Amino acid sequence: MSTGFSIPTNIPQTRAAAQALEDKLAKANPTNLGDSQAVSTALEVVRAILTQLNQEDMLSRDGAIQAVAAEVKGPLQTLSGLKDQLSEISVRLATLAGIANDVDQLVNGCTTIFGV
Amino acid sequence: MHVRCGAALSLLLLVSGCSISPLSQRATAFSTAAMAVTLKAQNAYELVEQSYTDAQMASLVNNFDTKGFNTSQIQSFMPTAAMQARTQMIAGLQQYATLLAEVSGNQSVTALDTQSEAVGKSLQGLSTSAGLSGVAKNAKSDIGLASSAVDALGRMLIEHKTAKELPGILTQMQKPVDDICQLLEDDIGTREGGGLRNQLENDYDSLIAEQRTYIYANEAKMTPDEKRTEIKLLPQLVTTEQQDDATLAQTQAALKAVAATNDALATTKNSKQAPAFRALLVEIVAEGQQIGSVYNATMSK
Repeated sequence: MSTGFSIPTNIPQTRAAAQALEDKLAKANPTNLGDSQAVSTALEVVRAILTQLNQEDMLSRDGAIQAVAAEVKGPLQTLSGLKDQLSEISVRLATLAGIANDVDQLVNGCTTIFGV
Repeated sequence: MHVRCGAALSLLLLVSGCSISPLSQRATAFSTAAMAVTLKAQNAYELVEQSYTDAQMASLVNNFDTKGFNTSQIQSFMPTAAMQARTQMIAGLQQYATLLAEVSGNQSVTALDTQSEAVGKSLQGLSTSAGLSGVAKNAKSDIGLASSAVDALGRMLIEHKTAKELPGILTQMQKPVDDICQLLEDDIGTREGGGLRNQLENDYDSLIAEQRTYIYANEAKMTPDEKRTEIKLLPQLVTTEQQDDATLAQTQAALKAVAATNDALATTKNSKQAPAFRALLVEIVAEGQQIGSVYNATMSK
């Protein structure tokens, strides 16, 4: 299956994918409760992943990568569950174009690197 | 206010003629300015802890009806050991600044010796601790480099110094002060690439999204005035984030200036005039005052 994007293979690439997705969600301007809740939740879980990567940068390498693996599992599951809803919202919000690919890129990167 | 007065007095001392040697006058002025910056460096971490907590609170409020509350939902951004390592390093820099002022003043330093010794010993303990390895890795530095810097600063603080040793202290402390300031600067990071500035931006993005969701979820029950108040919070959050990010960037620049000014001070040991040092000192004092006003406003919210 062609994904149309390159899967991140290291922490800086995964971080960049997560930050790109965060930036896209932060720029979205949902105008109803349902869309706003989906965007808020997606932002919260992407922020949780980015927080783990920021913290990982501040802790010793071995223990930190294991800690990140455990901590990003929940947010990644939530994000995968939101993918269809975000794709549906992107029909109304142009800034979210390509959001499904962005989600896949981050999820696949984290799966590859952290084995979650 | 005390810091501003102190800085002004130090600058006055620097330009006035008095019996203290030119190097001691400069060391005193540098000490006051460096002290102010190190206090701000500690505030930088507190600023991001606050934004991190606020973002968690906003999510808790919006999701309480479906998720309820458990204590694990509210956590601190920095692990305790990592934060303690930073606090100790900042305390070490502060004590170094205090020591310079006291030694330059040519007065009895007995009380200071006790304080310096305590800080010095805690730094030597830190140089071998796990907390420091986290700081060093964050700074993309060699752990040995960080450990040496902290150990050297600790050792210097433990040794009892007198005025005649000032030139030697300055030379000895150039590299450790440079390295510790660099570690703290790297911790502050960039908006895009990680560190405190990135965390702050992401926290505020979440806060804004949660505030918007809160308005949509509750607007049917709000009066027009209540809705207006909630909507007005959105641009306020944007402005606050911009101000706080600028403050972090200024703190980073001030730390860089402290290291550069310490280096410049060390090179003026035998000089009567020191224009390069003075220019850097004025820069630190100005940055310190700007940063101070923003932190005061933010922390009093």
